[in-house]
Amino acid sequence: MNKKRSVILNTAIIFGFFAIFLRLTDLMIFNHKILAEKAKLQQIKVEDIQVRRGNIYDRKGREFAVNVELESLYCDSREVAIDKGRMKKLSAVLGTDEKVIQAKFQPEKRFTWIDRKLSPDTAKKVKTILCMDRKTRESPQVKGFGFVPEARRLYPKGTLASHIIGTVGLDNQPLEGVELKYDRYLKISGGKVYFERDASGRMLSSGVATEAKGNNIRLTIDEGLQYIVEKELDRAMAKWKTIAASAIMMDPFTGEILAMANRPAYDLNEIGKARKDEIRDRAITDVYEPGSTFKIIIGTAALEEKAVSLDSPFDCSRGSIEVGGKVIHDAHKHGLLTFKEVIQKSSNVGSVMIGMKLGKENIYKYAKRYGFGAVTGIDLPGEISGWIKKPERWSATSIGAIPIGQEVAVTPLQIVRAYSAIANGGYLVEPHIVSDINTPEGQPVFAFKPAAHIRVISEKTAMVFRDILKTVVQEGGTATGAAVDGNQVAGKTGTAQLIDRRTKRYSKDRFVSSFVGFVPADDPKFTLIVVMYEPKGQIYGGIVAGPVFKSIADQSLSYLNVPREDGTEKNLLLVSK
Amino acid sequence: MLSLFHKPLCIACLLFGLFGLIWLRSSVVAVAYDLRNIEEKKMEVLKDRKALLADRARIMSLGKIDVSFRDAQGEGKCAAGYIFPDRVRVIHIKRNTGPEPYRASLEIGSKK
Repeated sequence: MNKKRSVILNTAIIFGFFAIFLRLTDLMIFNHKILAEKAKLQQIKVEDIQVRRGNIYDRKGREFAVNVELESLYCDSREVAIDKGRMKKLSAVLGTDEKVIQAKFQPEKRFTWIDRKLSPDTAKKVKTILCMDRKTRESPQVKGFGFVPEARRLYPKGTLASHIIGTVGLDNQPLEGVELKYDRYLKISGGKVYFERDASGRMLSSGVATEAKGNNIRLTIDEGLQYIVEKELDRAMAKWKTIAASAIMMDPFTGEILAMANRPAYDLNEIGKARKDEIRDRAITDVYEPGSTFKIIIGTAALEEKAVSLDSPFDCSRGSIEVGGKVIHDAHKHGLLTFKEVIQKSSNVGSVMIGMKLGKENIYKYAKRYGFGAVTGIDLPGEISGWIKKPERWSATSIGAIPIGQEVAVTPLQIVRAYSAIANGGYLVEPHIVSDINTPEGQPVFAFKPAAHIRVISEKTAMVFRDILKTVVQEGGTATGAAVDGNQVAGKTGTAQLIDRRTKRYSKDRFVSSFVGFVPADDPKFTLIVVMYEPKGQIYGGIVAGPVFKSIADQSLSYLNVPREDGTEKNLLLVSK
Repeated sequence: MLSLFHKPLCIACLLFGLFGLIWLRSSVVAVAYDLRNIEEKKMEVLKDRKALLADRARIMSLGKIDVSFRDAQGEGKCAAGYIFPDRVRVIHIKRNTGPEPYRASLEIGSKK
C-alpha cells in the first residue's frame, strides 16, 4: 500500500516538475523574445537626449542668441478625459478657442501638440488646471495630457543685428543669417539615454548627460558699434523718410565686419510678424548703381596706369559732355579742374574724360580687381555678385556711364571693401562675420584665417588717393557734413538715380544717396558706408548720408576710445577706458 | 574542537556576507534614486539659470539701457540717449620706451 502511494506521489512530483519544465521552456525559449521585450519596456525608459543649439556672441562675449527651456503641452487623444469646466479654463489660459483645442482630439492619433513652447507662467497654470502639480485622490491628474521640455531660441537684443544673426523656426530649424550659414556647427546630433525604473515608475540615475549642446559662435561684430549704427540709421530714416537704409562698418585691415545694419529690420523673436522686405539683408543681397562712389575705380586706375598726374587739367567749364548721343551733366558748372579736384568736387564730366583716357579695358580690369561683379565671399547666406559688363558688350554710352557709377550694379559690401583697399594700403580683404567657433567646453573648432592678401593697387597710389579723399570732406568738397571733430575723414559721396519701372528710364525723383569713408584717415579704425534709399527733400549723398556717417563715426571713435589727432602731445598712448 | 567552533562562524560569516551584499545592493539602488532626484533638481536649476542669463542679456543690452536712460532723463532733456565720453578728456600716458617698470598710472593721480 505504501509502495503504491509512493509511486503515485513520485509520479505526481515528476509530472509536476515536467509541467514546470514545459512552462519554463515556453517562457524562456519559445516566448523569450516577446517577454524580454516586455520586461525591458517595463524596466527601461528610453528618452531622447535633448539637443540644444550653441550660443552666438559678439566679439566681446555678449549674448546675441541663447536657449531657454520651455515646456510644450501634448495630448494622447485615446486617453483624453477632461470636463467642461477645466476645458474652459485651459482655453482661457492658452488663449485658444475651445473648439480649436477639441479639434486636436483625434482618436486615431496618439500624440498631438496642444500648444508649444509655453511660457513658464502659462505652463504652471496649465499644470494646476490639469492637476499635474498636486496629484491627490480627490483631484487626480487629468488623463491624456503631458508636457515635453523644448528649447526656445531667444534673441535678447531683439532687432539688433537681426540681418546678421538670422533666426530659427518653431522646430529650431535655421531660417536666416548666421543661424543658417553655420547651422552645421550650431546644431549637434542627439541620441538616446536609457533609464532603469521600478514598478512605480521611479527612475534611477543613468549617469549620462541628458542634454547635448552645439558649438558656440563668436562674431566679429561689436554690440556697441552695432547699436550706434542702427540708432543713427533709424534717425536718418525718420529725417529723410527713406524707404530703406543700409550701413556697414568694417575693419579695413582684417575684413572683420564690426557692424552691419539694414532698415527696415525685424524682431528676431517674432519672425512670424516680419514682412519680406524687413527680412532682406540689403547690404549683401540688393544691388544699386553706386554713382560717384564708383569713381574710385577710374581715379586709382588712372594713377596706377600713369594716365594722369594730380595736377592734370580737365576742362569741365561746359558743365556737360556728350558720349554716344547721351549728354552727361555735372550738378554745377565747375570750370577748369585738376585731377584731384575732379574727385573732390565729384565732377561727372571730368570723370568721363578720365575714363576715356583710360579706355574700357582698363576700367573693366580695375573694377574686377576691386572685386566688382563677383561675390566677396562673406559668410552670410544670399550674397549676390552684382554685375559689370565685359568691355565687348559695352554700348556707345557705357564709356560715359560706367566711370560715374552707372550701368554697373554693386552691393554696399563691395563698395566698403573697395574703399578698405585704399585705407589699408592697397589690399583687398575678405569680409567675414564669424571670428571663431568653440565647443561648450571652450575647445576651438574653427577660427577664421585670412587667405593671402591680394594687392589691387600700389601702396603709393593708395596713399595719394587717400589724400584726395580727405579733400572731399574739407572746404570745397562735396561732403563737408561728414567731417568728424578731432580726426580726419577720407571718403566719397554718391548720388545715383533709380530706374523708373514705368518708363524704364532714370527716375527724376527716386535716388540712392550714399557716403563711404574711413577714419582716422591716416590710421583707419574702420571703413563705413551709409546708403539711404529714396530720401525725400534732399538727394545728395553729402547732405543725406554724409551727416549720418559723421554721427556714427563721432560716437564710434568715442566708444573705441580713439584719441583725437588735434591733441597737443603726439607721443601718447591711450590707457583709460 | 576547532572545526566545531569554525562551522557556526563560517555559517554566520556566510549569512552576514549575504545580508551585507543585499544591504549594499539596496544602498546602491537608493543612491541611484537619490542621484536621479539630484539630477532632476540640477536640470530645474539649470533651466532657471538659462532663463536668468537670457533675462540678464536682455536687460543689459545697450538698446535697453539707452531707452531706460532716456525715460529716466525725460525725452526732452536727453533725446540723444547715451552721452559718449568727450574724447578731449580721455586720459593718456606717455609711451613707455625703456625697460623700467610701468608706473605711469600712479604718477597721473598723485597731487603734490
